Amino acid sequence: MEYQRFVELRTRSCDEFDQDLRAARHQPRSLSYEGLERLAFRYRQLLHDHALAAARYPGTAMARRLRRLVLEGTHWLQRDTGDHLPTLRRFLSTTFPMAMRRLLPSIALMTALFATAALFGFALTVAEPSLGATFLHPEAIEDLRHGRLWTESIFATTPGAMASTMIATNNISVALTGWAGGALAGLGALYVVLLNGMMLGSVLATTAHYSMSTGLLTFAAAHGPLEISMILVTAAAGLRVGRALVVAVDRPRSEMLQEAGRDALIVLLGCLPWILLLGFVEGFLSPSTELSLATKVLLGLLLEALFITVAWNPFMTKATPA
Amino acid sequence: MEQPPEAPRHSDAAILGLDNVRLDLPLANLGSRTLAASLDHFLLFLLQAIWIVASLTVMSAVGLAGGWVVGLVVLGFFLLQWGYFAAFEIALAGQTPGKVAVGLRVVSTRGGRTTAAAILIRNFIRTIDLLVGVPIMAIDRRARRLGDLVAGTLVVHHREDTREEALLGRHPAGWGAREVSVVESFLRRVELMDAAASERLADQLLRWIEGSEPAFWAEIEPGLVTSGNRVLTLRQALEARL
Repeated sequence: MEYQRFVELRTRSCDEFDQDLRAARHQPRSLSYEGLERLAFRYRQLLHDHALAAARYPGTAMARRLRRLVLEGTHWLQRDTGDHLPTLRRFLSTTFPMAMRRLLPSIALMTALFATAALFGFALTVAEPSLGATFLHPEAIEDLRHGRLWTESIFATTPGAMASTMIATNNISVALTGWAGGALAGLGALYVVLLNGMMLGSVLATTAHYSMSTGLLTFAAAHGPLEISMILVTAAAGLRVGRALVVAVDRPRSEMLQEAGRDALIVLLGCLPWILLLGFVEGFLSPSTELSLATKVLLGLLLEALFITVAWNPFMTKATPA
Repeated sequence: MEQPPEAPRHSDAAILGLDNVRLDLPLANLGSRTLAASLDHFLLFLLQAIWIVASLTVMSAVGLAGGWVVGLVVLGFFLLQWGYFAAFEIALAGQTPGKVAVGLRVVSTRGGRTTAAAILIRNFIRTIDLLVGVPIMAIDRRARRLGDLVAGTLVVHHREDTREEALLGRHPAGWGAREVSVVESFLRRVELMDAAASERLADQLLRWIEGSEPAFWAEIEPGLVTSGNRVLTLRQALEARL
């Protein structure tokens, strides 16, 4: 076909598609079923015209126009599947627990690594107490020497609202960094878990060295268990992404990565409300001197049990679709 | 004259669209993506500065206690830091202000709209990409950063070209796509060119047409090619619909 004949024949359909697409983008809700069907039909027609123009008349104005329209049409008409956000009930009852169950091996690995790092940090600091200064500020060590926990001086000068917000945002940042760090072949997630494990062990040993471990446990009992769980779970989600990047299976790596990424995101979103709750507990309840150790331990165990129940959902039947 | 199909640009990503028709997505490269990200980070910095000043001013005027003021400032700062890119990309169908300015857009690997989940994934990994994103983009054949790889997204050029295409209504019989595209490109860009240079090029093109098909001028209606202006003459001769 001659180029100008092709131009004459296709100009009208291009103009109509351009016009319809602009109208649809401007007011998508006013688009009727027939209108959408017509748009999809014209898109398909233009797609074939584009293929013809790209092969027969490459670089011409008509080929460029067709390509632009087809790219615009593709972007507007094609949407990846799975964009329907689950309802909150469905997310809590099925989506989140299923993702957590798939993540169980990674969580177990992270727990083992965390425990090993904590023991290592504890043993090292018991053998060499000066190592405590690696994780604790010199002023905190000074406070311990005077029989005070550093948390007392911090919370004495920091209002609960401010402390709560700062703790929550910091915890989310740590969780997100561990989660995102998993994409670096799992290295970032491993770093976060090992560092936090070492830190916990070392700080426990340092406070024990100054006979202040009961005070630390009293402070951390309410939020500690859940905070550790959040670090482990988000890092495990990141590790799953890293594993998909590294481990070779009989499926395309990109496909595995995207699947792991989706699962990791579900877990992260499921953990975010708990991290916010932790900010409140750590900012307002943990520093409270009115609550006894037993109450705080009970609160900490209750929060942890509640999280495990929601995350595992023992009431989920096998028939429930994933 | 038949022309071989034009080889795709190196920066194009060939995908199979509907009915297995090939589509070449115009990939954004490292330079344009870095420029867009720089603009976005500058805007983010401005927004954070505005947030701090505005919230401190409002809170002091209202008289809220210091703890709440700092708490709100920290919260807003945090939300801007982690939510700026994701919120804009979800709201503007894959674009941020920086991407709009540079003419980029995030799309799925099939050229369609990405899911909100994919946008969240690619932007939560942004912190890590600030460290390793550039070298990964440099070696990836589709210029993807780590976040794009995990989310299954691509960043492509997207700029609404408001200049009207110069479509040739007629041309000498022996012309193929290459000749047509050269003249169309010239007519499309002529307004942006220096007047003397455009006249000189138009004259060369007219001589080329005469050389290609001497009888071409004879087919034009008498009086159509009237102007002494060479660009106008070229336009009238080739854009005329017979």
